[in-house]
Amino acid sequence: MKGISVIVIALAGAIFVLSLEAIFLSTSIRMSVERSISAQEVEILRSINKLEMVKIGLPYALEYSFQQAVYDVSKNGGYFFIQPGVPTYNGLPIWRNYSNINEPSYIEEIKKSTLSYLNKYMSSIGFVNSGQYTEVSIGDYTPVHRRDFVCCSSCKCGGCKFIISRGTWEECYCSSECENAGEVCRTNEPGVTPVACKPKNGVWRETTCNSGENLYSLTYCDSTASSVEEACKKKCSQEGMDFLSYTSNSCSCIKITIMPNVFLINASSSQDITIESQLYKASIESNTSQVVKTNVFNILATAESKFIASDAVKDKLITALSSYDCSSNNETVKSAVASAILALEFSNKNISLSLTPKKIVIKPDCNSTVAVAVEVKIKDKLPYLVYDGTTAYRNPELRFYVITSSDYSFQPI
Amino acid sequence: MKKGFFPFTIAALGLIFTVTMIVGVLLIFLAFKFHIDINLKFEYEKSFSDLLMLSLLRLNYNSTYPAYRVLAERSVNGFDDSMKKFLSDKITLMADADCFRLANSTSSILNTSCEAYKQTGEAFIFKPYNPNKLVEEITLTYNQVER
Repeated sequence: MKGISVIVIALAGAIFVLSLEAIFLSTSIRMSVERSISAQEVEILRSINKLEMVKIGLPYALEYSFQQAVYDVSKNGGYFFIQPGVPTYNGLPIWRNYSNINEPSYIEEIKKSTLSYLNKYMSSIGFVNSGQYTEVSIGDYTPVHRRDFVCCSSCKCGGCKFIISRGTWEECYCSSECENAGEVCRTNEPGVTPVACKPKNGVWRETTCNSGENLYSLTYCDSTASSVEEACKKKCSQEGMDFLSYTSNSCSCIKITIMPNVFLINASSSQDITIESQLYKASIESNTSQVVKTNVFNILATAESKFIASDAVKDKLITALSSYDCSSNNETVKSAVASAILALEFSNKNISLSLTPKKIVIKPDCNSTVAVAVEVKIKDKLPYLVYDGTTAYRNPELRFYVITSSDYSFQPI
Repeated sequence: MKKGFFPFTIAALGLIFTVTMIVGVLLIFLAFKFHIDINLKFEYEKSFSDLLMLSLLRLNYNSTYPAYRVLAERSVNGFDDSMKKFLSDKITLMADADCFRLANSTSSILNTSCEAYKQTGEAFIFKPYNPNKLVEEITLTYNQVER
């Protein structure tokens, strides 16, 4: 009996030990599970925080990308990359080659470049998945506004009839809207000189005349003007615009709006930015925006108004060379040309324009006809934080070439 | 002797059973409590440290210059004593820390004279464009004051 009791106690002891072991095992497993859950919870919290960091930083990345894009594209003459086939001179694109215009899409190239740099920022964050940014908006408007005017009137040469009494000749007469109504304006009768019909009151129209109207010299729309040029200048002034150019019966005016230099830029992507672990996936909207300061539109407006919509260099050359003739001294002409080109330079609080004549060619048989290759630089006076070997504040400078001459028939460059 | 030994055995068995139950139940509760405390503290500190960095990046140094720029553009714009004091004051206040060290992967940005080692928060910031380094990781190590 004593032996049985010892066995019972031993068994009870064994059960006690086994129970403790079971409790410890169970606790350890539970602790292990808890630790795993805890690690996952930490991971989730950190993921959310990381996404929040991306969200805080994206506007800055967008701004840095935009600044770099403006700097690089401007330095490259308005191109993100100068593609083969783009005409260049001294490694820079030629925006005007006499009457040919090769203007890049400066703003579009900046947008393209901004997207490229922004996507580099996104791919440099290893722990998030993000689609490519596909759209950047900077501002949508036309800084250079051009209007063309013509002078029109219903005055016409018509009412033709055969004059049998004088030997069957055909005659036409100026209509009643003409100042010289009834005068013969066309005839095949020998010895009779027809006159030109003169409208009583010409009417300014934009681009083209209305149906039933004819085009007349601009002076018929402004009786006080002594020349077509004067009539055009007065019309532009009336419209609150600047005079650009004129032909015998058309007048071009231009208006450059000084743009504000603060813009809200926005980058968008169709895909969200996501972060995911085995048990967790979080995402945020990838669209981002930032307020930036830039004069890109003022730079573009200056370039377009002076070298695309008109040829300011040619106009200056014509004016400067008007006092010279074919036999004028070569060096004197060159000096006058250089001075005339430099006279186009200007500077305001936003931008500065500088021109450097790189090549001046004088027509061999006539020294008053000149062709030039001019390097144009339009600098933004705002500082941009950009990389060019080192990261520093720099001023973007749009650089390109204008090749022109005082007479487009002379094209030696 | 035979008759008196059986009750003793029963009593011994009851005692063993009771002790086993008490120890088992207490052990489970104590272990869980301790473990949950540890986990919660760990999770809280990790989350708080990262959130602290987020809050720091959202601060404004002045009306036009956010703390984000102070850190991201310090190699270009400089990192003067006023900026250092601003960040130092904010970290001390927000982390309730007596010692801290703000550093990137290669060097220290801002630190106190005493050694910081207890809590760690991390953040990354976008730097001004440089093809070689677009992102910088910043770590804040600090010792939260025990209260």
